[in-house]
Amino acid sequence: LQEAAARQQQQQVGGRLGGRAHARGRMVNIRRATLDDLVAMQSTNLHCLPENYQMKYYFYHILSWPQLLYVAEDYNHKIVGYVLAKMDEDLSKGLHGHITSLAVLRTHRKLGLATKLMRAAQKDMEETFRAKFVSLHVRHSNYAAFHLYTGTL
Amino acid sequence: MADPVQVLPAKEQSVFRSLAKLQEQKQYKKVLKLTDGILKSHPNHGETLSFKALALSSLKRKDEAYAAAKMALIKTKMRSYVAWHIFGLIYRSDRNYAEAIKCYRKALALSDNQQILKDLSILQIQIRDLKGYAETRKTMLAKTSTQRSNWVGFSLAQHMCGNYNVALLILDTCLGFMRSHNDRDLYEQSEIFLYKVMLLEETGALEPAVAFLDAFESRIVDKIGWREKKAQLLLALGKFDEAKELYNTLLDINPESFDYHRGLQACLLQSKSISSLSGCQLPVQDDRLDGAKLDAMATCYKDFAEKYPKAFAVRRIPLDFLSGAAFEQQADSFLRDGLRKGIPSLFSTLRPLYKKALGRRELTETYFTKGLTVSDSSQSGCQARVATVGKLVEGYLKSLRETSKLPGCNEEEAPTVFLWVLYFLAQHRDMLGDQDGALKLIDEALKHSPTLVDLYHVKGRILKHAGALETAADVLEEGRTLDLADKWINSKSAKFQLRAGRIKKGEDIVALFTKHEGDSRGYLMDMQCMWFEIEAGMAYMRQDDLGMALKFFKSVEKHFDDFEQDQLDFHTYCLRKFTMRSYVGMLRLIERVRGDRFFAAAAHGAVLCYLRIHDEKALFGPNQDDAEPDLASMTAAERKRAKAKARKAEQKRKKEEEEKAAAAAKQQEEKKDKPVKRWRDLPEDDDPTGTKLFETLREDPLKHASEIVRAVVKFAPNNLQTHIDAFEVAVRRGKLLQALRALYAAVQLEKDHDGIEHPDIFSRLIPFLHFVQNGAITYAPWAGMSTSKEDKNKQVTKPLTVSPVAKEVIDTIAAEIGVSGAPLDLGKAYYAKFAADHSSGDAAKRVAACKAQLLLVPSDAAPFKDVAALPSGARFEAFDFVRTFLLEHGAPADVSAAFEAKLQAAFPRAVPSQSSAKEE
Repeated sequence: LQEAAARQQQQQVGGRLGGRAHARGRMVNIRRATLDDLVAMQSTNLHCLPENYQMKYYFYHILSWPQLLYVAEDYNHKIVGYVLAKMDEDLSKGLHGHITSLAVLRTHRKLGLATKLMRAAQKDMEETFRAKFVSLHVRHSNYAAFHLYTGTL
Repeated sequence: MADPVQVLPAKEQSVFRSLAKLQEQKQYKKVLKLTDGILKSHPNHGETLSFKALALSSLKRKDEAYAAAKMALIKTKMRSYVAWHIFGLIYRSDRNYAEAIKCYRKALALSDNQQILKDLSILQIQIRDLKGYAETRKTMLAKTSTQRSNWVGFSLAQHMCGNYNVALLILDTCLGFMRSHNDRDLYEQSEIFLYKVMLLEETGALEPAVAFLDAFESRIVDKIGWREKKAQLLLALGKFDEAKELYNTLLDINPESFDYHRGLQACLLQSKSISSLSGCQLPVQDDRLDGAKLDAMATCYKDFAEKYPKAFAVRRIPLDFLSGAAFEQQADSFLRDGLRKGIPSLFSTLRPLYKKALGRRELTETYFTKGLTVSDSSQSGCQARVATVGKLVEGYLKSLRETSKLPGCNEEEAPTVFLWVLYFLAQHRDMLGDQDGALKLIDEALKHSPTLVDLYHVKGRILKHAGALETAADVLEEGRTLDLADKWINSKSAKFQLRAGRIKKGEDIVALFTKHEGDSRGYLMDMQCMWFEIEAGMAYMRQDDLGMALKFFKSVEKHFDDFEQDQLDFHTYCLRKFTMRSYVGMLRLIERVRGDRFFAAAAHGAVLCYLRIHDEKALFGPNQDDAEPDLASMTAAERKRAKAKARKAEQKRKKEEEEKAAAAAKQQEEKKDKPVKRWRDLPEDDDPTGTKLFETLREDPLKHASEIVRAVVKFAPNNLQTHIDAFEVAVRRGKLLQALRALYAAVQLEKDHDGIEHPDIFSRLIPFLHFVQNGAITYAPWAGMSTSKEDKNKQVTKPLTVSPVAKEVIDTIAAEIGVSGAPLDLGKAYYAKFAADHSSGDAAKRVAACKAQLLLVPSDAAPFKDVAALPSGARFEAFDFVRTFLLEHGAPADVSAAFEAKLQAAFPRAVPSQSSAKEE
């Protein structure tokens, strides 16, 4: 239902990737997700976001676009952030990627993890899948996300 | 074919032809109506009846479906491939794959229909009938060799069977006629190229794999994947310079990837052996770098710091290998920077240093802790580092208090720096066991910034470490109300409520975010929210509600069954998408996914429940009315006690039943007012209190327990808990060899560390061997003669008959794992070392020594006194561990009371133990 209130944002990928880095530093391992990360990603999602998915949906992403899932893993092997992204099947607006879900644990804020995860996924959308732009849904009330997508990136 | 009964007139025939499509569109009721229509005029048309059966099955009318499907087979004289295929589909929908495969085979004997072949192949790979799968794939390729997916599919089948050469040959043939068309096609081809590299790597053909990557570089669109793979291969080949170059390129793209740092460090150290490292583990972390290598590494990271000024990883990593003044300098700038930026996780990134410095055993069994093994050099190195960090930050605090400046700075810092210094130091002190000091700081921070949610979380953790679970839960709840839109703090608060035993409150809090009022539990189950299910299960278990506990643990187990089922749709999907590397990853993941910590935690919880049902039959066991204690054989005092106990148990049960009935009635009442709609139309939960489940499980708890144990032994063999659970179940079932085998496996895991001296092993192994030697078990739970918590420690004697052959096997195994000498003597020596000597600081070994001694010499009262003599400065968790032990083993009241007083003196915030609370 919150989807209804969501607004869609689109932004250009090209040329902006090398933009000014806002990220202030990250002390976690940022890498592509593997199959072994999915259970932990689901758990991270359930801990911090109201939109949740069954494991099958995570399988669907990694089996369709293995390059578009990234995780942030802390020193204690815990997944503290992730991005779950896909290529949109609707080609009417041109080839583009879509962010299904992005989350960072509250304990790991201020490290620029969201920015870094987004950049990584965007780079692969562009390089591997030739995406022209990326779309996503943000709840109106989510200021932090709004700032990230309109300002930082 | 010629059977006239099976031929329909044109009109019915056209209706019949539409059935398959309607069924596919999930219009089951319509299919049912149409088939009934045809059957009215042609009651003997078997294939129509088959479709009716399929629709019935989809509508969950299973019995009718099977009856109809069988009848259809008879009517078609077993000669219709459609009837067989549909019968197979019905079996498949019930996950009975073995029967489904049989039906498909019958169908294929009558027809070479492609769809049936495909369906057969899916089930074969699903149940890992690899040989069958390879055969089916071969047939499919032979029939339609124009399809690329059939080539890749056959190659995959050969790969899975281990026939790498055939797999490569087939794949090469397929690569030969691949041409690029559009973007999507380019991607698919790129994935197939990379799949070939995977195959080459797995056969050990590393050089050809590198050559292939080079040759097809322009056609592989996954550029990062290409570089990562090539760098990894070069490293494995010992081509350090080339690999280093690639890792540098990758670090330019992502300087925060520890995979790349790991690779680069391996190149610098000229070491190929990094395959055992993962996550944030690095080769430099073991404090074994010598002069030249250390210098090289330090120089490298100094360069990185300039090259990647924004990357924190390059500044955090040197803290793992620098020492002395160099460490202090690096740490100083790292800490100042983090504190000025207000990074909440600053302390958490240093926690590994603390863990190594403390090198302590985790006493609490939660699903987040893992065993920690630290070498001595690493431990002392980390102790020095932690001391430096402490000194630095304490210095910041002092300086800020006096001048609002950091040491050596001329400018005043923003007030938030003071806040984050308090926040950091509170965690530092907490980690070192100084909860009082930690609380002082966090309270000061809270006075400074009462709305910062993070502070409440840390305060709650400190309180938890001080044993004040309820206060901790209150603090988390206070923090939660400050930011109602934050689901993370909501989850944390809920977890703390559950840990504090406030189950209803915990569930209510979680429900605030699970949008479907009235059916939060259904939602959480549907979304596979396992952290919650495990915490809730544990909470119910602590309150003796084993039915609810098992309901939650079973739910977790079911999620893993579902993960396994989830594969089904992807077997053909991936052969269309050609994401073969991921697909192979999924096939392999599913075979080990039950090794996941969530599964292990749920399995362990369930085993604990079953053991309690077994050990406390009076309260939990079946047919309590029949199981009258044998009063005749008892002394008067025993009789009196037994009757009182029975009365008490009966009262408790009655009270519980009444409460449950009242709750159910209330629920019913509420339902009347407002029909509870279940989340996504889940079927009604007909057992909301877990009582029905409990009835079915408590009949034979050990049977259920051994089923779970079998699964964890298979999937989580590297987990010590697995083998300890296996032992506890086996010994109660009287399976001596099985019990010993479990301990043998446990010792193998601990081989390089404590071996048989590991507390969890020693306290079981030595008494067990003693019982075998003596020909009698005297520990009531192991003898199966315990009926309640209280009489777990009563004196029993259950004679053991051990055949000479078994005895010999046991002796041989015992000798092999290093048991030399009589168990009694070994127990005594261990006791002298870890329990009688009060200066020994290892609480786990102290408890183990006392437990073993109690089992070996039940009349000895010394263990109770010695176990209670904890060294000064012991942590709450050590106290709590001992407290549980005293309670479990029926310590004399005076010893327990004295211990409780000592605990309360050391940790005044701690919740009093249940027994002492009762006495008051």
